[in-house]
Amino acid sequence: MGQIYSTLDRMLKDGLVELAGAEGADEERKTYRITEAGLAELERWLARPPLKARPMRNEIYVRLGLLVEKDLRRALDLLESQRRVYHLQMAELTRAKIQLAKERGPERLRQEMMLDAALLHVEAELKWLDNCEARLRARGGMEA
Amino acid sequence: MRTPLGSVSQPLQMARHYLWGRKGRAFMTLAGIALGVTMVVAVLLLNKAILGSYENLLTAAAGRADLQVSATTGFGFDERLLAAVRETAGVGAAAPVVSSGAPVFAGDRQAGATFYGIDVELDQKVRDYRLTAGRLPAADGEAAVTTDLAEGLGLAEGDSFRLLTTQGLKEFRVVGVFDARGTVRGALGPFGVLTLEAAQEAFGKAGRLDVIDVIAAPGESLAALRERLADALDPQVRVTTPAERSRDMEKLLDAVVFLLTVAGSVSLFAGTFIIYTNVSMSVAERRRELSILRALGMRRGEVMAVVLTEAGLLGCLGALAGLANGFGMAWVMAEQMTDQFLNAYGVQRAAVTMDPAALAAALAVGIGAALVAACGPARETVMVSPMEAMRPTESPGIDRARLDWRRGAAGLALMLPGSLTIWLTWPQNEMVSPPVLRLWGLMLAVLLLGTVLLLPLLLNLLTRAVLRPLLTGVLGVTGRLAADNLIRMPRRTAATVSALMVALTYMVAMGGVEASQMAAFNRWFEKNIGWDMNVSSSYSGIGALVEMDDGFVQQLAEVEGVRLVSPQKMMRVILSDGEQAFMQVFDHRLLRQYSETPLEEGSWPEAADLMEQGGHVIISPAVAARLGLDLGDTLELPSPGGTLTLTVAGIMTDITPYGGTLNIDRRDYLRYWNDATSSNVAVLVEPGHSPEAVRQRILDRWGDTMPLAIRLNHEFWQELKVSYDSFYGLNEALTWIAVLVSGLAIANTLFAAILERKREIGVLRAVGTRRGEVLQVVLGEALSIGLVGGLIGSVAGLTLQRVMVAASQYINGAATEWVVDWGSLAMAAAVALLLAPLAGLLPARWAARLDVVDALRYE
Amino acid sequence: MTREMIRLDQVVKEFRRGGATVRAVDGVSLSVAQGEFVAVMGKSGSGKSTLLHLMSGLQQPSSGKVHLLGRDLSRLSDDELTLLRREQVGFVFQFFNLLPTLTALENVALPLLLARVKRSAAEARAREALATVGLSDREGHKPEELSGGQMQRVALARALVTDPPLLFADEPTGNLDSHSGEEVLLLLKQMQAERGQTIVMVTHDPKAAAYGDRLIRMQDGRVIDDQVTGEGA
Ligand SMILES: Nc1ncnc2c1ncn2[C@@H]1O[C@H](COP(=O)(O)OP(=O)(O)O)[C@@H](O)[C@H]1O
Ligand SMILES: [Mg+2]
Repeated sequence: MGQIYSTLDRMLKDGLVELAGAEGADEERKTYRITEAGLAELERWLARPPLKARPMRNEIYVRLGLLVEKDLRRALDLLESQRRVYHLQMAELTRAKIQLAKERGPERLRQEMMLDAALLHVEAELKWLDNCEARLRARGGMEA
Repeated sequence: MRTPLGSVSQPLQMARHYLWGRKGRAFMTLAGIALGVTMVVAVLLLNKAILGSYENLLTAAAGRADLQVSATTGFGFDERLLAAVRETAGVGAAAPVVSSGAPVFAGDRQAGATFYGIDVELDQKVRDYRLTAGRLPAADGEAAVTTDLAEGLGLAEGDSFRLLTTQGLKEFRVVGVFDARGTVRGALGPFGVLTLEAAQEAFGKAGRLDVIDVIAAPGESLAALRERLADALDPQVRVTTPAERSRDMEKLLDAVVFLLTVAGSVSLFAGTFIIYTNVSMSVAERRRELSILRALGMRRGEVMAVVLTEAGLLGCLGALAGLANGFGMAWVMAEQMTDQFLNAYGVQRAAVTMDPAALAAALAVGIGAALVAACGPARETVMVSPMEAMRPTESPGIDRARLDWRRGAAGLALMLPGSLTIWLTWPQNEMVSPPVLRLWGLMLAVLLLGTVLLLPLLLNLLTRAVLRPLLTGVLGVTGRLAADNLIRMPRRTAATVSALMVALTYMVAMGGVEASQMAAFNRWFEKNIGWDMNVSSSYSGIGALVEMDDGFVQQLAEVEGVRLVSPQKMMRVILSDGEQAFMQVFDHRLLRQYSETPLEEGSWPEAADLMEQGGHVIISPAVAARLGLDLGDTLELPSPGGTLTLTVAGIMTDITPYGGTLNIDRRDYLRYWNDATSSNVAVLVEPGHSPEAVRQRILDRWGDTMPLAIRLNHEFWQELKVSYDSFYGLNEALTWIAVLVSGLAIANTLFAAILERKREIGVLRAVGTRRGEVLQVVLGEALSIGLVGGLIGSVAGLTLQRVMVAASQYINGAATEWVVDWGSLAMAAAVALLLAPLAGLLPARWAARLDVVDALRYE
Repeated sequence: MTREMIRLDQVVKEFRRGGATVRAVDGVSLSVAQGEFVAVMGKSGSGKSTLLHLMSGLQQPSSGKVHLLGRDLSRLSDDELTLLRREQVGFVFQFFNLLPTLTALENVALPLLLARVKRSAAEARAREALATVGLSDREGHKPEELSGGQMQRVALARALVTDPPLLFADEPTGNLDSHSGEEVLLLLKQMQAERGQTIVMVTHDPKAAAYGDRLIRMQDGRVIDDQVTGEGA
C-alpha cells in the first residue's frame, strides 16, 4: 500500500497529477486529478512496449536448481509432478474459457485475453519441463 | 542429385531401379506393350507373307524373263504361238512353260508340289538349275525335283514316284535333284520339272502352253518389243512384264488384304491404346515420387528424362517380346491360311519372314506409344509445383472431372467430315471403286480417332446423365462413388474405354461381316449346289489342281447307282478390261436338273434355256460393273478358237472371292477351247441309293490307279464353312488378343486409381463401409467402363460392319446384305459386362482387403 | 453406475518392420466410462494413434483383449466390426478425410446412406448435423471449396450424424490454425455435454488435451500417467 503513495508523490512532483483538495470529513482520503501533462504521458506509456520480459520468479526453478546437483531421480520426479499440476491448471483455465465463451458483455474480451496469456504461459512451462527432462536424461545417460 | 546435362546413365539407372523394384507392375505394363505389338506385327507379317507368296508365285515362273506371254483364255493357249514369238524381231530367247500343282506319291509318302513342264534347253536360258545330282529330264517319264521335295518323299536319283495326271497316276523316275533354295520358285515350296511334252500330257494340256518367258535381244527396247509381240499374237494371249502379272494377282487378294489392313489398323489402334494406358498409369502412380525428386533439386528436363527413359525401356523390351510373339502368331496363321484357304489360289506355302520393316514398325509402335503415353502424365507432374504434388491432402483427379469440351469439339470436328465423306461417296447401285475404298479406309481411321477424342466428354456426360443415376439406384451410395470415380481421370479412363471399345468394335464388325457373308453364302449354296456329290482328281480348297479327261467322266457314269454325271470346269480368264475373272463351264442341260443359278437379274428357267441355246453368258455383278454390261448386252470373250461374242442371259448372285465370275455353257467351251477335260464332276445318285455307298463304289472302282476326292453335298458345305472360319479365325484371334489386353488395361487403370485413392478407401472403411461395399465401388467402376466401352464399341462396330459389307461387295463382287449379327453383339455385351468386372476383380479385392489404418496413413 | 464403454486388458500391438519388431503399444490396460472425454497425449511415435486404432477396432491387438461397448472385438468378423463402427463409433482424423467427389451434405450423410437409410431421411439428419457444427450454408460445397476448419467441422458432422455413443478423434486440430482448432474442440466439448458422448482424442498439443476431463500420457507404447483433470479433480 505504501508503494502506491510514494509513486503518487513522485508523479505529483513531476506535475503529472495534482491534488484535487480534501473533500468532506474523510481527512485520510486524498483525491488526485490528472493533469494535461499527465494525460500526455499516459498516452505515451500505453503505446510503449515494455522492454523487459517477466523475470523468472517460479519456485520450481530454485528447487530444480538445487536437486540437479543432489539427486537426478528426484529431480525427474519433481518435473513429473509439476507437469501434472500444470495440466490440471490448463484444464481449469480451459474450463473457465469454455464458460466464458457462453457469456456476453464487455468483460469477456479482456478476460479471454488474460486466460490466453495464462494458458500460453502454462504451455511454455510445460515445454520447458520437457526440455529440462531431456537435458537431465542426457546428463544422466538415461534414455528419453 | 543434380545430373550433368546430357548424361544419360543416371536416368537409365534410376529407371532400371524403379522397374526392378516393382516387378509385378512393370510386368503388367510390359505384357500390355508386348500384346499390342504382337497384334501389329502379326498382321503386318501375315500380310506381307501372303502378298509375298503371290509375287513369288508369278515372278517365280519368270526367272530372268523380261516379258511373259500368258493366256487370257483360261486353260492355256496354242503352242504354235511359240514359233510366232520366236520369229518376232527383237526376241533373244523364248522358253515355253506348262505348270500345275499336283499331288505326288512315293511309297506311303505323299506331298503336294508344283510341276513345270519345260523345254530343257530353252529354259536354261531363262533360269539356272543348281543340280546336286544327276541331270534335268530329257524324256517322257523322267523328272528332276528340288532337294526339299526329294527329302520330303525320301527320294534319291534313280528312284520313282507317282504323279497324279488327268489320266490317273503316272510313274516318273527321278533323274536329277537340284537345289532351289534362294530362288523365287523355291520360296513357293517344293517343285519338280518334267519335259514339256510329258507335262502337257499329264495335265491335259496337249498342244497348249501356259506361259512363254521372253528375253529381249541385247539392246532391244522392252516397250517396242512388247508392242511388236502384242501385234504379232492374237487376243487369246497377252504380253506383260512379270511384275504386272503379279499386280493382277494382288487384286485377287484384295479381299484378304483389305480385311487384313483393317485388322492391322484396328490392332495398331488397340495396341497403341493399351500401351498408352499401361504406361501413363505407371507414371501417374509415381507422381509424388517424382515430385520429391523435383523438390530435391532435379530440373524438369531431368525428371522428364527419367520418366521417358523408363517408358522407352519398357517400350523397347515390350516391342521385342511382341515382335517374337507376333512372328510366331503370323507363322501359325500363315500355315492355317495356306492349308484352308490360300492354296486354292495355288500357293503351297506363304513364308513368314522377319523383315526390317516389321522390326521398325514394332519398335516404332512399342517405343513410340510408350513415350507418347508417358509424356502427358510426366509433364503434368513436372508442371505442378513439387510441394503441391506432395501434399497428402490432395485429392487426385477432382480438378479434372470437369467437362473436356475442347477435346470433344475436336473429336466431333474429325468425325463430321469422316462420316460425311463416307456418306457422300456411298455407292448407289454400282460397286465401291478402289480409290473410294482407300478413302474409306482413311476415313474409318479418322472416325476412330474422332471417337477416341470425343470419348472423355462422352464418358463424362454419359456418366452424369445415365450411369450415375443408374448405379446410385441399384447400388446406393457405393454406386454413386463408383460413377464419380469413373470421371475423375476422364482421359485415362477414356483411354481404357477406348481400348475396350476398339476391341469390341472389331468383334462386332467382323462378326457382322462374317454373319453377312455366311447368310449370303448359305442362300447361295442352297440354290447353287444341288449335286449329291462332287468328284475331282484331287483338290485343295475349291479349285482342282489336276483336270480329269473325258474318258474318266464316261466311266464314272457307268458306276452302279449313278443317275447323272455333269462335267464342270473352272478357270481364270482375262476379260477385255485386262483383269481377271473366274469362269465356270456348265452343261446347262444337265445343270438345270440339279441346280439353280441364283439370279439378281433375269429369271432362271429362261436363262437356262438361253444358255442351252449357246452364245449366252451369265455374269456376276462385279463383271457387269467392270464392263458396264446389262441383261441382253454382249460380252467379247477371247478363246483359243477366236473371240466369242456372248449375250448376257442373267446376272447372278456371287459370293466367290475371285473379283468377278462368269458362267458359259459347255458346248460353247468345247467348240472354242477344244478341251474336253473337266475340273470336277457333279454326280446325282439314283433314288434308293445312298450317296455314301455310291462314293465307296467309285473309290473301289478306281482304287490305286487314281486318287479321287469325293465330297458329298453337306461335306462341301462344311468345307467351305471351314475355309470361311479359318479366314475369320485370324480376326477372331486378333479380337481376343485385343479383348485380353483391354482387360489388362482395365485392371491396370483400376489398380492405379485405387493406389491414388487409398486414403479415401481408408476413410470409407473407417466410417463403416464393409469390404463387400468397397468391392462394389471398384466393381461398379469396372462395370461402368465395360458398359460405356460396350455401348460405344457396339455402335461403332455396327457402323464399321456396314461400311465393310459395302466394301466387300467390291472386293468379291458378292451381294452381301447387312445382317445384324446378334451372336457377336451378344458376345460383345457379354465381354463388356463380364470382362470388365472380371478384370476389376483383382483390384477390387485388393482394395477391399487394404488394411484400414495403412490406407489412412497412406501418403 | 456409469457404463463401461471401452476396456483394454494388457493390450500389446507389435509391428514387424524389416527384421525388427516395434512394440507400438506395450501392455496397456485401461477403462473408459460413458460420458468421459479422454485426451491421449505423448510424443510423436509414442503409440497414441495405434492405441486409438486398437480401441476403435480398426486394428486387432497382437495380444490382450479389447472390449468396446461390452463386446470382445477379437470375436467379431471384419463385417461385424465395420457395422459396429458404422453404428456406434464416429471418427475424426487429422487430415480431413472427406470424399472429394461428394458435397458437404453427402459426405455427412455417407454413414447413413451406407446403412441404407432413405435418402431424404439421411439428408435431413445430415442437415441437422451440419447445423450443429454451424455449416448450414455450406451444404452444397465440395470439400475443395471449404477451408481447413470447415472441412474438419464437416468431418465432425459426419462423425455425429449417426449419433454414436463413441467418438474417436486423432489429432483433430493438428492441421488447423488455433482459432479453427478451438472451434472444433468446443464442438467436441458440446457433444460431450449435450449428448453424453464418450470421446477419446489423441493429441500432442497440451492446449487441446486440456479440453478433456481425463488425460492419459503415453511414452514408448506405455501409459505413463492417467490423471483426472476434469471438474473436481
Ligand atoms: N503399420 C505399421 N508398421 C510398422 N510400424 C508402425 C505401424 N504403425 C505404427 N508403427 C510404429 O509404431 C509406433 C507408434 O506409432 P503411432 O501409434 O502412429 O504413434 P503416434 O500416433 O503416437 O505418433 C511408431 O514407432 C511407428 O513407427
Ligand atoms: Mg499419430
